[in-house]
Amino acid sequence: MSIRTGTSLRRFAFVRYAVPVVTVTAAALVTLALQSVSTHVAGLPLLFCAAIYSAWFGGLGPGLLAALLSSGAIALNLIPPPSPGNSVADELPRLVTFTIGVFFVSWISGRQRQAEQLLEQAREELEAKVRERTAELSRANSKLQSEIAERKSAEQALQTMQLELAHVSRVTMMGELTASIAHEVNQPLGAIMNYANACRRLLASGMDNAVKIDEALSRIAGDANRASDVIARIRALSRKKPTERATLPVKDLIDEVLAIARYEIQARSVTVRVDLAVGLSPLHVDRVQMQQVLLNLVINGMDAVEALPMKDRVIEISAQARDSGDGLAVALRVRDHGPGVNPVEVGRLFEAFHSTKPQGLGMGLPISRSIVEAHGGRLHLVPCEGRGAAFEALLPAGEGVDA
Amino acid sequence: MNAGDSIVYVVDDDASSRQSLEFLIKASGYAVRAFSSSKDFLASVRPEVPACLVLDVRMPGLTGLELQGELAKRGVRLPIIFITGHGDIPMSVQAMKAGAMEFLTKPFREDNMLRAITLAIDNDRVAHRERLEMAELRRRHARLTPREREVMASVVTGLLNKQVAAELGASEKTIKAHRAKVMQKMEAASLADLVRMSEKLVADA
Repeated sequence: MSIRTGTSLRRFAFVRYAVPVVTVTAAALVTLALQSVSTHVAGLPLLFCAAIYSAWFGGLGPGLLAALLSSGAIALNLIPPPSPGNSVADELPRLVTFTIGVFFVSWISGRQRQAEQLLEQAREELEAKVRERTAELSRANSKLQSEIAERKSAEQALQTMQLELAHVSRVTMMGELTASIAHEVNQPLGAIMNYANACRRLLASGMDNAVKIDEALSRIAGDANRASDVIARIRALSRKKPTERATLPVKDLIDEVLAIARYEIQARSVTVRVDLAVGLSPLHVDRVQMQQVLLNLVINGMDAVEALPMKDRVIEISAQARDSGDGLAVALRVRDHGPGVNPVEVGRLFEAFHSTKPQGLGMGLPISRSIVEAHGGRLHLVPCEGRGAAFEALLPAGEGVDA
Repeated sequence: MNAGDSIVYVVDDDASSRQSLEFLIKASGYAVRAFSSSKDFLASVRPEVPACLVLDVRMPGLTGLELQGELAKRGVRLPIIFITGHGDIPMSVQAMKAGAMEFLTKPFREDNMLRAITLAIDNDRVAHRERLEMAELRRRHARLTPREREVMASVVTGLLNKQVAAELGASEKTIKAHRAKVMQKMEAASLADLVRMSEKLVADA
């Protein structure tokens, strides 16, 4: 701190040149005061000290000024020479050595001061650099923070988008199943109507038909339940809701999907064969999303076999336990016996908006894949023997064993 | 409630649809036999009574339209009332052309269904009488010996006993005896009666 104060004071030429004046004057006054007490006090040493200090402090200029002032003081006999009787000329060699000494000290002190200045400069540069770096780092840090936040919100947006897309594709898919859905609701409604009309007839006949009417009423209740189950299933599929994973036995998944597509399967005279391995672990998945994946594969399969003779319109759904490499998995496979996938199309199968069907949106497979991958699984076209195409969803198995 | 001894057959794969239909038709006083597939219906033994068939168009396995074709092939003339979940025009045209009585879209009005059933049973009642008559004729015809059948075939063409005898290489007396036997076995009141019976048998063959 003191060095820094000294060096900062040295910056001013006024201070540098004030120092020799002050110190030489002080040395002369002190010398005079001391000589008034004792005549043996030498005049030069204190002046020399003042000159050296001035040279050390201010460099060559102030050093010379001090030497000049000291020489002047001696020459003007302000300070009496140590040995009385000596003239100024006698003092000359002493004055010359004095001046050379001052030069030397000034030179050394100049070099030292230069070194100090360089050091000071280097330190200041270093500090500036450190400050600059720190500022840079904190800028980078805040940029990173904002990038992280941005990425997080982008991820969230992507997730929302995927949910939306899955929903749109589900609704589109259900559009294809309208006939099936209408049939599934119409069937119990027609039955209810039949029972109701039968009851009216039984009542109008005037006979005691209480037992029959009771039977009809309980069947009405049963059919009303059936209709509302169908509607509940459809509503669950058409609703947009966040992912919600639960335990789902593979058999339930397949049964539910086939129940939704049942009429469509019949109307298109497609035979569906199901082959479930024994003792499969249940899945831990979002029920609706997984139904969507399987339903999509089944509809694709039906489309693939549509043009074939009736006996060849076969789709096989199979599920097997498999070791996926990182744990137990369930391989859910849908295989059709249609014309298969054109080798040219294989690479684009899971591309969005790429469809080989005239009415296709090209969203089914890419969305199915993103759903399966979000569940930590994989969805692929797998090779199969003979004609047709086989798609396999490899899903991580949950805990336990299917009932 | 004009059911009497008639039967309404119902073939529909959908359980609740089939059961409710069975219930409704029974409540209207008809005897009902319901089947869940065309195959089961074809395999069933059906009594010879006035009847009609209420048939779902869309079914796994043999569809309603296919069953209609199969019945025609087998010579089973049963009035058919088609029911379907979807009023598909080409399909209904095809069904009606193949002789369907009615084509109803589910859910249908019960009066339409019951009216169609009544009409179908009434139609079949006439056909049923003819079927009985034919069966009786065939039964009588089956009782004839081969020689008597030859005599009958010649007689109904209008030939005299003498001409028949010449044709079959037998005496006129023998032919006369055969002819009396034919008239007796066929329970024919006159030659005209026998001619009419012969025509029916030929048409049915």
